[in-house]
Amino acid sequence: MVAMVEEVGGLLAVAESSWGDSLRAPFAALAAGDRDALEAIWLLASRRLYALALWRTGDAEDAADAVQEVFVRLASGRASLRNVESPHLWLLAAAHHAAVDATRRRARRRTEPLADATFLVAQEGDPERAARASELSRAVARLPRAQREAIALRHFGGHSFREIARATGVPTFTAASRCRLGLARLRRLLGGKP
Amino acid sequence: MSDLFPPGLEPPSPPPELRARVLSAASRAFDAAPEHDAWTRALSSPVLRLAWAASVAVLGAAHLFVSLRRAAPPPDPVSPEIRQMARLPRIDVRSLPDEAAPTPIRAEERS
Repeated sequence: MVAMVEEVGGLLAVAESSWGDSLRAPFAALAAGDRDALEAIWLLASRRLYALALWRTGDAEDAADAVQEVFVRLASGRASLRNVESPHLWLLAAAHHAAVDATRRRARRRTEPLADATFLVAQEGDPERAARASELSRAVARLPRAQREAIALRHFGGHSFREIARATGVPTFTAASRCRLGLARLRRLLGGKP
Repeated sequence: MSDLFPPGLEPPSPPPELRARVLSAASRAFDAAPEHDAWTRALSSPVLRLAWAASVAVLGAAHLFVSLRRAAPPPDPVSPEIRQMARLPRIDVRSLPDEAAPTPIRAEERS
């Protein structure tokens, strides 16, 4: 299964429906007690989950903790996975909750303010694109966490507002509003039209 | 995708060392998780839950049906004791012979 998954490559480019469908087999295998299914799920989902957690928490370390938490939950509650209807929404919701928890833990610890996280990177080593990615990252860092998360799920995950709403536990209208307001604010921060 | 995000930009990939860390933690959790026995699996089975709910609903409906068909008769306002007394043969004093007839109570006996 892992070899089959590795052939997929370019995970963010995989169409949404096929991503959800491709997770069904590893979820079923994990529920049946196949440990290798964890690695298959990692290959299919880690980039999306890490992106969601990073845009939600605004910190690479917290995002890594959140992704780890998702996989621990997967492994420890594997028996209940056979009843999961939408594995991709299960994973996104788990990553959302883990990221929220990581943010709360950090707030309780009252550590020093976060350094600017890198929210976007250029695929190739193009300096112009890298500069644009850096400029956008600085602007994205100034958005509220919920708006950042909605934008990441919508524009880089390719999810519908309904799916974003289900993953983040808010009404669909709220998910759409967060996305719209976040983009409007981002435009203002970048000096573009409102 | 919004025009704010030109093609070629995307969120960063997870750091390479994260894969080993996450899979190791997940593997430990996998080993620590209790294996569910047949009873636990049966109790968490949606099909069996549905069957259980359906049987409770059928039993409830059957109970109502039987109760309504064998409705108890309305309660009698007259108690059984009084009804029995009413059924006693009545004695007509006038038909009794003189020696069996009750003697009227005289006024001086009353006091």
